[in-house]
Amino acid sequence: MLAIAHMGEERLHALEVQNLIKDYGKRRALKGISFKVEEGEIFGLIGPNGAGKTTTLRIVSTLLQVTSGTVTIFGHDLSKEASKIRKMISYLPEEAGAYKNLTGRKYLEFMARFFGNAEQVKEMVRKGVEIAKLGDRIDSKVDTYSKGMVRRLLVARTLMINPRLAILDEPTSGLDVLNAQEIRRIIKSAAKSGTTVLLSSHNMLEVEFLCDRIALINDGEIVEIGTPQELKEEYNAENIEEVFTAVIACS
Amino acid sequence: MFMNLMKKELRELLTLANILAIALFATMYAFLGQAVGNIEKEISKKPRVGIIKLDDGIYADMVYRIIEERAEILETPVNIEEALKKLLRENGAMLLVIPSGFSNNIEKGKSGTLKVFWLMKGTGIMDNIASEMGGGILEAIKEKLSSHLMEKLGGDPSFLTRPVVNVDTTLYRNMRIEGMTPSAVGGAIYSKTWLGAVIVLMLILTAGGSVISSMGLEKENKTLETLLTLPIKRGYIILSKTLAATIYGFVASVIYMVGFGLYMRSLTFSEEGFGPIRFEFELHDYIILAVVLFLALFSGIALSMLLGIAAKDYRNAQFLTIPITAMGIFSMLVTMFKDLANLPPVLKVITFLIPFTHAMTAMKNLLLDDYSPILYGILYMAIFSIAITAIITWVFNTDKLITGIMWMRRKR
Repeated sequence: MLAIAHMGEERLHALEVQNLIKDYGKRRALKGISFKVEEGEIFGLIGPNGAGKTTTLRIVSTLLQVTSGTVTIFGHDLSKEASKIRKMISYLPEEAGAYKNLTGRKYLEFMARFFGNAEQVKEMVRKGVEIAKLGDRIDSKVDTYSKGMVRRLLVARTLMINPRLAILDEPTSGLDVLNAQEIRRIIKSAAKSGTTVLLSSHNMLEVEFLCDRIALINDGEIVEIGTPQELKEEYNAENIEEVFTAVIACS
Repeated sequence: MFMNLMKKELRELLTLANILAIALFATMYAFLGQAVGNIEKEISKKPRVGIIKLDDGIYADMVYRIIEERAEILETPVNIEEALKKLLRENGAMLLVIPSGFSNNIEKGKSGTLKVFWLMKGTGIMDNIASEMGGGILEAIKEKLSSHLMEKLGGDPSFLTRPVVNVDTTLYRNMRIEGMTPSAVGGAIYSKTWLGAVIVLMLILTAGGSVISSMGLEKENKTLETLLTLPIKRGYIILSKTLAATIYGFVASVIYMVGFGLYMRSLTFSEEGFGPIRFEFELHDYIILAVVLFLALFSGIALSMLLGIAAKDYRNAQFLTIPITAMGIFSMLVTMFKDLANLPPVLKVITFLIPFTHAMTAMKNLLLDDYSPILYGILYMAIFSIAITAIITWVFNTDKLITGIMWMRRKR
């Protein structure tokens, strides 16, 4: 089991990616990226469209297979122990939906049953309902929900099971300012209670507010990695947006 | 966990709307049967015939008596147009005019002429049963009058009309069927088995379509990626979808069978069988039929699932049912026209390779106690199902399902 000394205590690497390469036919989407995410950390992947963010998240969430390199999640090799890893992770795709013929509550119940016994399901659904904040509408069919309501339900589904690693692809995509703020607060709170978060986002303010560390990815390569503060200092920038522009221009 | 997924799949398929749609379809057929009516009843009814008898001779009287025995004679005016109007009003089948001089002509050795006005009610098969029976009456008239004339000339009518009598024995698959020609045997078996083929086709289309649509919906609703990251074996995802569709298919089959059964009861003759062939199934026949139907359904559903993987969305999924429909109709038509064994080699292989063929021909083979093609069919369908399921499992375990979607999105 890998461990590093961090802030004076032994902490486990929640995620360790080494020389990860992913080819789609002849096109190389990831060109040997490496990064580590510590337990309880919120780690952000930022980069332009087509840089490889979603591919990385899909590989970590066991949807895509690696071409070469290794991905280890809480000490488990992704290529060999995908089924064990699926018990520890929860993935929120950028474009995701819920079963339209179910009510919000039934959808949460259906998903919770994959992760626990009857008692645990009850608790997960209670938490999910609390996160979703849909009021009475939690008992309405999903096909009557607005885009924002569906997204809140999906975020609730992702976090209600207390995953060890939550993988969130554009978590606030399609949400208005207030809803997005609420989701960010929920993500922060989940991390405080022990969930490690790997997320991608186009929203630089969101990344700066949420993430403990950031990796900037461009054209399948990680071009910069560090805390928001470190990166701002390094590039003498006011905010992460300026860092992003400078890094992309240099690379 | 598997049951959780299975319940969700069943909940999606066995909706009240789906069941009502199938029930409505089956009920429509049952009502159609009632509306079309019962052939046996129709045939047992005497046709209504009008006669304008303008000749009082012996042969005209004979014709009248023959018709009287076989039909309900309607009193009609002597004027042809008025008689026809009356027959039309009173649902008559035909008007027969016996002109004056009819008997005289026959006595002189000339043909007697009967004018026949047929009242055609429609172009459907059952619209003109009464008229068909009128044709039978005319044949009887000719036969009786010929016999009478032969007797008069001193000959034996039964010999003279049939100097050669054939006693038919049809040999088919180690069976001797006495008193029947091959076309009569084939026709009787076909009338008892074609319904089974139609039901198999409808079941495969219904259940297969539901699986393709289910995959299309997973993609359209963007739920597939989440489903694939859940801690459940990919095999269970496939199994839950295929099994739920098979259960749905069985429920649909029961409803279809009731509806079609009622429909067919009105269109077929109640025969118990002939020679060594009995139109009754024993318990083991039903068990074999259930196994064949299950495997055909499972094969069709597995194939549909494979096609469903390529579905971009629900709408696109509907188009992907076309290959399944084409295969089903191909099997049904080919086996309707010829037995599998009598097909040219290439066509035989193609037809055999379509798994639905074996379910469509199973009823016929069971009636004929010919178990070997059924067993080969069961074996083939089992291998086919396992092979297709293995391919689907492989696709689900690779990232083809996701990269396939990405490729299609890029194409769009």
